[in-house]
Amino acid sequence: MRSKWTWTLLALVWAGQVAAHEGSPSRYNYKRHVRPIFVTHCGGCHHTGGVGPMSLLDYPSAVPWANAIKMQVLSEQMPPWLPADGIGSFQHARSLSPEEIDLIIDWVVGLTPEGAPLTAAELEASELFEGWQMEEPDLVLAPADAIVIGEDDYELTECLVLPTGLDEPRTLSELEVKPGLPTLLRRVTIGLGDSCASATFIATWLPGQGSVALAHVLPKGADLAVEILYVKGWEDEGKRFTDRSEIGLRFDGGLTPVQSMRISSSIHTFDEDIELVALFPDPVDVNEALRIEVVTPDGVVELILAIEDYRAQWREKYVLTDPLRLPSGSELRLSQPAAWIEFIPVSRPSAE
Amino acid sequence: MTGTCLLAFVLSVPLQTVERESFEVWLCPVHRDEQATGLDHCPVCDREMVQRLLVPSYSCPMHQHIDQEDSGSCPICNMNLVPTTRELEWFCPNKPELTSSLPGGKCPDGRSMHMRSIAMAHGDHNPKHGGLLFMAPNGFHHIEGTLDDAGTFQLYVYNDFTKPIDASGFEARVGDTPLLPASDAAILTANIGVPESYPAELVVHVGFPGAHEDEARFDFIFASEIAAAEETATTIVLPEFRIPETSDGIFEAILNRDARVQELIGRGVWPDLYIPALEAKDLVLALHKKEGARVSAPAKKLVRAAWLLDVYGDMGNRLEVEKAYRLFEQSIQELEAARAQ
Repeated sequence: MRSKWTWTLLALVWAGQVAAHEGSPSRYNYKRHVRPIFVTHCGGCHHTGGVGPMSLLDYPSAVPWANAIKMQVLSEQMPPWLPADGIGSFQHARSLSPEEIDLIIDWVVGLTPEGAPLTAAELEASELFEGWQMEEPDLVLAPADAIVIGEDDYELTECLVLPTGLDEPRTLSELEVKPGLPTLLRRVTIGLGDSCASATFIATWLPGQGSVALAHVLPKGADLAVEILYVKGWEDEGKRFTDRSEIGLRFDGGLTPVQSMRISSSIHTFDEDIELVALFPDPVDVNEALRIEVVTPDGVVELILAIEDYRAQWREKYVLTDPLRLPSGSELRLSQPAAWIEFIPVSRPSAE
Repeated sequence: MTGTCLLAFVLSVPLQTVERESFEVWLCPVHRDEQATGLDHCPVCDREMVQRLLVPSYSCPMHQHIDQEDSGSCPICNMNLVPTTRELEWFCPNKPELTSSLPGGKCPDGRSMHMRSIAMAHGDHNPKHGGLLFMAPNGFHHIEGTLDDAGTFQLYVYNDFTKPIDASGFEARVGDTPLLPASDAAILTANIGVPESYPAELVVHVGFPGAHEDEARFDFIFASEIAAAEETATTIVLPEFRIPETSDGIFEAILNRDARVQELIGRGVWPDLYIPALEAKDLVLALHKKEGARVSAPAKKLVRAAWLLDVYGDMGNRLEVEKAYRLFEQSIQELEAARAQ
């Protein structure tokens, strides 16, 4: 229980968009309590040299933004994770727990104590890691010509077709993007095919995501259609950049390959038993809420994904924590089409 | 985002290095409310930040130099003292210009420096004229509104030390009626007529000098000319609070806090909202610890809503408070549903 002095009007000063009911020093400090949360949920973008406009991994860089952090967290704008809480369960969810939210806000209104200074090793870990985070890739793809982001470009989407040159089918098991322009590269969407418009969706990559586990069969001579989104920060406006980001691939990880399907109608009925593995919504109207539910043949309805505030910049593939077994005749219902799904057909045991 | 600044860096929990319980912060010696971006130097004047010790204090709304450890009345005007926070400072009686922010200093004559306390930024959010006081969204300005029995609404303008400042750069209106400068330069005033009944609710919009953002909204709700002063004078006292042992007891306590929040919103006592809201937040975290994942989603929503009630309660903005409350209410309904499953 805090003393009444905790709740007195001690607001030492930070001016910003809003000012909360400031309190006395928080029981949480940056070094011990706050930074570990930032490392886990924010550091992929908000590190020195990263795509985030400021680092949150060292105290002097993070603390001037304390009030902004508070409002971004309270409004659920950051960390950017679109699925509603309590509906579905997905791998690599970036949402904060109730305790983490409370800890961060308590720290902000409680005068942002630093705790002990960071060690040299911790500071070094705050810098951008420039190598591959996965093991050495089996194949590295890069555009033949650098992509130009011109002075007048604020946001630029480019599509590349990268030949893999595979001389036999291989199962893609891991993929990673090594950004050439880490401060501008916001999202990479990868498909199988020779055009971004018609490619079969495979993966999304977002800054800080590291490598992405996959199980997709690439045919002999496959092309990857790669859509890259660049967004400039205010510091980069009016500047010209060139980029040759690389995509690293690893093959044959041993997982059962998945199949991809684009569902363009509001209801899709499965004509075989499947395990639903992943969802990649591609809604017609990004301003509308999005809901995806499954209905089994015996009428059981389960909402598996709900997004109230669909922010297209943060669209990504959602991989279910546990694949969802759906018997033949089950329906997938979309509040608005379309969506890519990944699934594994399941063979029924023989009747004999 | 607008520039966020940090003036004080707290380095430790309360110290016992002086006679009174205190805690340690770092401040710019001159620009105590300006932006600071690191521990070393003030970004405005590049002076080294200095260590300061802060103490809780009871002071007089009218005589800010009054500093007592316990509640009581002002020895000058007999007004009830109100809780504040002050900085400690050490000085030489024979050379008052020689000061130190830390104990243990010696004066030129070899004698020990004497301790005194001084007002500090945001150390006193108590109304000075029996009205309702809010902090502006810019985190610097503060305003207080009063309504007298002749229907005159007065807006007092303060800085972050709750000291009156010149109001001539402000543009403000109560409803559609512009507030005009009074004879006292720190006051804007308008006669809005005697309210037909109480509580009287006045929506005041204020444009702050030098601000780039839109004018800010403040909802003043006067229970009566007298009651407003009584309410604000007692806003700091917290009821006894403990976490019940059982999950049902915790949920019941959350419902009690919800009722208290509703009651405060109904009366427009915005500055007090944080008390039941943050208690409900602590309760739901305790419930989450007991009941686990099944209440995670509503617990998270309630934590967010409670802090938003705290934020917007301080700013006296009814619209934002009500928006935060809808989230709060929804979270409790979802909590009940989750527990019923």
